[in-house]
Amino acid sequence: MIQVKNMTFSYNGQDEAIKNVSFSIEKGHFVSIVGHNGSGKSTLAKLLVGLLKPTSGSLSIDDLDYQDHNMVDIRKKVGIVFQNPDNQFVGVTVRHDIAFGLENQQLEPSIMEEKVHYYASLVGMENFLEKEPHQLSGGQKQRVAIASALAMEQEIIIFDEATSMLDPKGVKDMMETIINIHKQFKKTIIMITHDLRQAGYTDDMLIMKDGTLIAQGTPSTLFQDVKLLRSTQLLLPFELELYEKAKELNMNEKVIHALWAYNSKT
Amino acid sequence: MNNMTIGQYIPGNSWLHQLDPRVKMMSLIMLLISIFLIPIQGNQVDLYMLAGYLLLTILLIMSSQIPILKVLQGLRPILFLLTFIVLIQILIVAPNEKVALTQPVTFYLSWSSISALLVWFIFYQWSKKWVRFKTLYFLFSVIMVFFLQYILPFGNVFDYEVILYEETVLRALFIFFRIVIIIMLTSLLTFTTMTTDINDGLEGILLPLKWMKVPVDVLAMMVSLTLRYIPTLLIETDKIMKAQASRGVDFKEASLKEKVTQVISLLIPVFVISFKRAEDLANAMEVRGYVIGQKRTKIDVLKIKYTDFISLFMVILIMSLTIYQVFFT
Amino acid sequence: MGIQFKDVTFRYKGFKTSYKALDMINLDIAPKGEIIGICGHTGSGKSTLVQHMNGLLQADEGTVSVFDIQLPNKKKIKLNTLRRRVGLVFQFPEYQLFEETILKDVMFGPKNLKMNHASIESISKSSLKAVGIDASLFDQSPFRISGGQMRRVAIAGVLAMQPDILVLDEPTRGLDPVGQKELMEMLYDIHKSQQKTLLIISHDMDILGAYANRIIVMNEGEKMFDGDKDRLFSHPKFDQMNLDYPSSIKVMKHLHKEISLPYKLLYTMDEVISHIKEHIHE
Repeated sequence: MIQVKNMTFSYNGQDEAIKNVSFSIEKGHFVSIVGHNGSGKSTLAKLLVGLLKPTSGSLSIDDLDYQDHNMVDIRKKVGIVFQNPDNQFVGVTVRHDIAFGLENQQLEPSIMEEKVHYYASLVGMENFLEKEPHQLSGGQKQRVAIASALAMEQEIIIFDEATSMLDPKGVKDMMETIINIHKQFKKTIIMITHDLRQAGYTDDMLIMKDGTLIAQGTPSTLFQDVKLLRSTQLLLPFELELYEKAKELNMNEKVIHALWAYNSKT
Repeated sequence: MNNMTIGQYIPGNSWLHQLDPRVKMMSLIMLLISIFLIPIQGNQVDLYMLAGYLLLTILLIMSSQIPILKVLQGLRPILFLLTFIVLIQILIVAPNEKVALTQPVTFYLSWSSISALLVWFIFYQWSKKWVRFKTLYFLFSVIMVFFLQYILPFGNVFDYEVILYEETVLRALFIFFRIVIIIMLTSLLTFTTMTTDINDGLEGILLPLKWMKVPVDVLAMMVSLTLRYIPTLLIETDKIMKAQASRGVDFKEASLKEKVTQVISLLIPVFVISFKRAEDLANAMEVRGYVIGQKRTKIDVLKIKYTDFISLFMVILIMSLTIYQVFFT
Repeated sequence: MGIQFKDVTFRYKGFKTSYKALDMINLDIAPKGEIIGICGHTGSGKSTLVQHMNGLLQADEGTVSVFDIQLPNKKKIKLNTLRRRVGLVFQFPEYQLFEETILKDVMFGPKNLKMNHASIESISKSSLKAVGIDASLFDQSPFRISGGQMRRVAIAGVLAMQPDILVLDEPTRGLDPVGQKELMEMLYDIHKSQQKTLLIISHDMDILGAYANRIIVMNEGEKMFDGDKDRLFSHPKFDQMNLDYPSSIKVMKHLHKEISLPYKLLYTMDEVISHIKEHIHE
């Protein structure tokens, strides 16, 4: 559904933030894009959502090329939730914020009212509709951001490090919401994260390093590739690191087995 | 801090709350203009007209179910100014027709009275924090100032006579009540209208300017975003103040040069945060389909109802009567 | 010496309500080179607690004693005397940067505290070195470096004031895993080389497990636990504290259950690996 072919991008015309990247994402898949800081994953998010234009190569959704004349249609297909809860909250109240995208779509007020209530309930914010953003926690603001994206009823939603600024409870709530959205609405979800535990929940994982795509596969497959993981410059979660070390040190099979079972569980 | 809301809106169900904000704002402007049209001369008819406006204001306040105390609190900031204006009128301005209401009263600025005034001033500044009804205490203090000048002629340096003339008293009362009415009416607007509605109302009223290529809708969006971010910015500024205080920023102990750097240490972070915010926000708005200048609908619809028509009609009527009375009789 | 809290109660006064952010807190922190972790749910009073330690907030009831200076105090105290001894680094401290150059920004704190003029520059430079900022960056604008570097510069700014106790509110929040590890290692090195007491507020139990010896748990404004981390993680009422175990302990529990590895409270990778090797042979 999303096709990226030989895409290269450079901010200043010299250093390439994205180098000749090609991949495709199937409809309805839950995909994660991981990579160290500076690997290009956030730039990739901005490209996928049309905020940046590739220097060369192509980007398309359902055979619609990311060209200027297509942008209105592309905006109807892709939505995004950014990292900073305060810097994407446009409305004066929760209700106004969820309605913002709908107002841009020129919907009728009565329809907007319905959708606002429906999607606010979905993320558990139906009792907060009149609240102003400074009265909400970071996690609550991010849930409103999710509701706003859902309300626009786009098939694809990108989460650009959307949990990075939250506390553990906020992260947990948000992950649950994202997983539920995927199950319930069968949306295509692209989660950009530096947390491999979160990536573990996804169907498909893309690993970025220094602007290139170095691997794509299911988390299970990729997690068992010790050499690959070592080359990513990522810091692995404790239990995954322990598993990789157990393999490297040739520990007793039952240890490795037990550790893999633990990793699959979490 | 997290519980404050933007603006002064007090929720309620009165007819005033439910009036269309455009009607409310236009009515306010028309009433304010009408009040200013009444001349200050202090002649009987003009006073009756102002009294009429005062009555109207009180009736509006009562029907809005806003506690009168809240409305009066809006006058606190200008209490000093009001007292000053009234005193100037009574003491200094000379009337055209000297119809005296009282016998001349002599006030003395003598060594004894000046020292007493100084003592009272110091006492007042120190004692006012213990007092509950600060406004009354202030007024009492003003009376004391004159009382002391009245009873202490010892060591006279300068004395002056005060006669209360009918004209100056009426004029003072006129100006006083005019200011009071203006402030109460304006407060009433902000108490009964949500800030978002004020913004939408303003946008609605200024919409005709779009024909002159004025980007009214974009300006309204800017106002809306500003309103949304004021509380957030206040909270962030507070955090930065605490962070810099932890780095030794202490206004009381700083030299002037240091104070400048310290103020900069508060301003620059706020600017930096705001610029980053502007960039992120622009991206977020663009992705959500916002295009500057493009038509968009609103979830809050302003609908004119019968009460709006009637209210507007009444206000126009009042304004017309005032204009007729002032200019044509 | 150090910091003592005696029956401290503090209320946030809102519009019409007030609520107790701190309730009868008793605490003793000696400046002898400890690393103390503070954890608890959001709103449990952690940030409020540490703001009493450098005089930003003052108790409504009870007293706080900071290096023998008592708050509240009948005499007017220059709060900067407190801030010289207790350095407080807020969440997202990079937001406090403002000067033209990195070096100037770090020198801001010492200048405000009116430290010895001649030594301010050299102390600032060594603070920057201690946080891993290379001398080539000293004259750069603090806004042209990465977020992680900005955070270090902000921490250097507090270190340069040479506090005896360094308090950090969620120092790793918002950083990626590599950045978090590097920051914690840097803080640990500073702790070791300068023997400073570190107070770290964090939600990350892995970090507290790996670096802290003593952990304070706050809950609804009260101090629920204050003691050795081993005691915390083996506490019978642990499940009621709404806390997570460090990952290392969670793995140990799993291995103990699945392959009968003897259960032990371990916190680092090396410890766990040695333990496994010791008890389970290839």
